[in-house]
Amino acid sequence: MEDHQLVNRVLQGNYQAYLELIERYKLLVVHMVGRVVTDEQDKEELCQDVFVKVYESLSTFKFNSKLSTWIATISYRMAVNFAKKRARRNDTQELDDVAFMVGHLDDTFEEKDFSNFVHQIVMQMPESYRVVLTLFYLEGFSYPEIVEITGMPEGTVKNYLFRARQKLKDLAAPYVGTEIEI
Amino acid sequence: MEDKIIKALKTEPQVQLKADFAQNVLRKIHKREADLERRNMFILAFGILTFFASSALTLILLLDLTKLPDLMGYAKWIVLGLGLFGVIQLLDAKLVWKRKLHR
Repeated sequence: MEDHQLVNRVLQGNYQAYLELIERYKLLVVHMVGRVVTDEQDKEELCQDVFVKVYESLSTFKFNSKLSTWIATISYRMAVNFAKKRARRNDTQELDDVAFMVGHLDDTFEEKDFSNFVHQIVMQMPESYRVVLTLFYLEGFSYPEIVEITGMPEGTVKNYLFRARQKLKDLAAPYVGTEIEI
Repeated sequence: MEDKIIKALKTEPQVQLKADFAQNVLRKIHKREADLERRNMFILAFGILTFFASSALTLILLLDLTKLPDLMGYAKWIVLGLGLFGVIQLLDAKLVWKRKLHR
């Protein structure tokens, strides 16, 4: 079922359709919230609140953008507001100022381990970098969509992506060695 | 190496959500709707009450049923205040109702 039909069914009061919508966008919301809020319990609670907010605002959604972009925007804003209240944001921190704790990987590490290792490094980056990396790579949003979601200028988004990639390359280099060509 | 990093970034991180996540969302929605309904009923009842109270006082003033001139000065402001408050309450109730119907 297309997003348009799904939204119309939800607006007609079909809760089953909303369950389907939750299932469809659950991971997007979890990824977005998870990049800003780290506490597991807070994260789950906030993800639920995001879906409540989406439900309440759905009648105002006019399909001027993709539904996923709209939901990601709500998730990002709610997560940032939550983090502000908890005063745990490190958004003002510069990437170069962050001391990275790199987990151990032996010579026989598998692809899954490397992926966990990369996500571990990402989680230690400042919030804006984490969000931009997640939106671009994990969720596959375009630059204009990331601009719409985060409100950051396009130049900043590109700069964050470039610097985060560089940092990841620097930190991962000792573990990847010469086995993979740059 | 960049390809490997990008591939790792595109790999979904482990996500742990409770099995009843979606049901909990629906529970929260139902609770909020019930709260909204209660609030709306209260506002509507209060709006109607103040509206009738102001109407009754207007009648008293117009018909000059009270023969207490000092009280009339104050009553005029009470009527205006209550009337205005009643109208605001009714408008508010109408808006809340409309929002609910739109969903």
